Amino acid sequence: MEGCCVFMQKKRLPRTLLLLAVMVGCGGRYDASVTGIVTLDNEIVPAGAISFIPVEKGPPAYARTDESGGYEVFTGNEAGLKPGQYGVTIVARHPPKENRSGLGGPPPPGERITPRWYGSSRLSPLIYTVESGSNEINLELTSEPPPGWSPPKKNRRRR
Amino acid sequence: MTTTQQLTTRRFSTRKAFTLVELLVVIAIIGVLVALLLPAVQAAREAARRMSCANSLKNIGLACLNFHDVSNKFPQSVPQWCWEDKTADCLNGASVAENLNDDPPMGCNGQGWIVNILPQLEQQSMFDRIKTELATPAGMASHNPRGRGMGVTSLRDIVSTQLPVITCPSDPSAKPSQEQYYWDQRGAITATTSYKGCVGDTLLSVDAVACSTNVDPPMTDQSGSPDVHGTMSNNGIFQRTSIWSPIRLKMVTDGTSNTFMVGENVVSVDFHSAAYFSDGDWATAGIPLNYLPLNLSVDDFKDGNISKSVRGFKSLHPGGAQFVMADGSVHFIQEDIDTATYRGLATRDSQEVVSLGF
Repeated sequence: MEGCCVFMQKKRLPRTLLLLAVMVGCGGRYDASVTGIVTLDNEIVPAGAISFIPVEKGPPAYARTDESGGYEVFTGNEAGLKPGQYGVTIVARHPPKENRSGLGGPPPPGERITPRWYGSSRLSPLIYTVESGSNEINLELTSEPPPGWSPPKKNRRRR
Repeated sequence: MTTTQQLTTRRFSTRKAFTLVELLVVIAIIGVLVALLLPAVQAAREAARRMSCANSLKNIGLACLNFHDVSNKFPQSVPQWCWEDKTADCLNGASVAENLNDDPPMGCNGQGWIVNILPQLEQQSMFDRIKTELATPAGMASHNPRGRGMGVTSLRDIVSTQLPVITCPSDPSAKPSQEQYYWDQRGAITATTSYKGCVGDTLLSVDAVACSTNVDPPMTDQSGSPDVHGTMSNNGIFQRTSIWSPIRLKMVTDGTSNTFMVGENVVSVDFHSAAYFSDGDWATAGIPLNYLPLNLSVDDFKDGNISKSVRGFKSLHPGGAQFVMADGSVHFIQEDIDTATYRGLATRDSQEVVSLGF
């Protein structure tokens, strides 16, 4: 009798608790998840803003890279995204030179680190198919322009 | 006899107390029950907060429509610098730079649209104080950061009044703040708003140029109208800090039940949230719903690389955000809404075929 109870205490209970924890923890909103690392010419890109734009209909997903270039995709404020085909855009910038505009608002953004064509949904060559389950997509950017790329005219800017 | 007595005593003593194992089993069962119950209780509390939030939105929506009944236009913000209307230039394909008047005419006081509806929200005395102060020479001048217009020091007690009707109970950061752009330079405390007027689906370009589609993610240059940047007419119910084009109900040709009027905001990620100020009370659907990079610091948000991308609609309610439509009805919009539908609901006159599907 006592042996049985010891068995319950030591083996069954943790297992039951683990099962419960798994049951409570499951049930995310989205079927797919995407993580990966962003590099430009094999160097890590920190503080990059990424968007996953569905090729067909659907909500866009987004991510930000951390100091080590890693990212995880979110839709709204939950991790994950719907499976499907996505065009990917990415822009990473240096910190702005000033911390405030002369007028009291936010300063203009810093210089781009990533090449311009990766920031445009029309020009970005990054297209990926996201499957159900976890996906690893390492965004390997190069500073080599895609064929047909011509730099745009510089816009006037007033600070 | 003695043995029987001993036996009885022992039996009684075993009945009087639980064994350690029994106790642990009971505690474990109670623990499991509590673990099952707690998420349900938390969900019920969040549901109650969401209902309270929907109630505030409903009141704001009704106040806007009552204001329209009185004034024949929707509430309007007044810019802190008077912009020139450059819509025609932009339509002609010209690049329109930000056009800030260095010496703006009197009356460009930075008064937000929420000030318009204070009488409809039963805050007539607040409205009267603001009206009186804005009629003084300092109150009529522009440049809020320099203590003029809405920034006059005699109005500080009013602009720091956090009304419950502009405060979502799910957002603990919706409280008076010293960190709001334009106000923080002089340490002014302002109330913050959980509810922002929808200016349509305009993009917010990094070069601050009207007609530009030069944006950073999460915005995309294919979803959203080109940047209006205060110098062009918006396609929503509210204007982006500009006084010169009142919006009337008859201009909402997409249908009032298919057009967002006011939606939700999370103050902790958006330092453009000063409640009674014209550059703190609008948001755009050109940014994905609920874009909420919560793990960043205040310095990150204020560094100018991110500050534009957080000016969409967002809320801490799980799964989406609430909006009041131009007909006064409140709806919960799921955050996985299709981009084209979301943009279509934000514009007032773009002739998309969209509906809420309720």
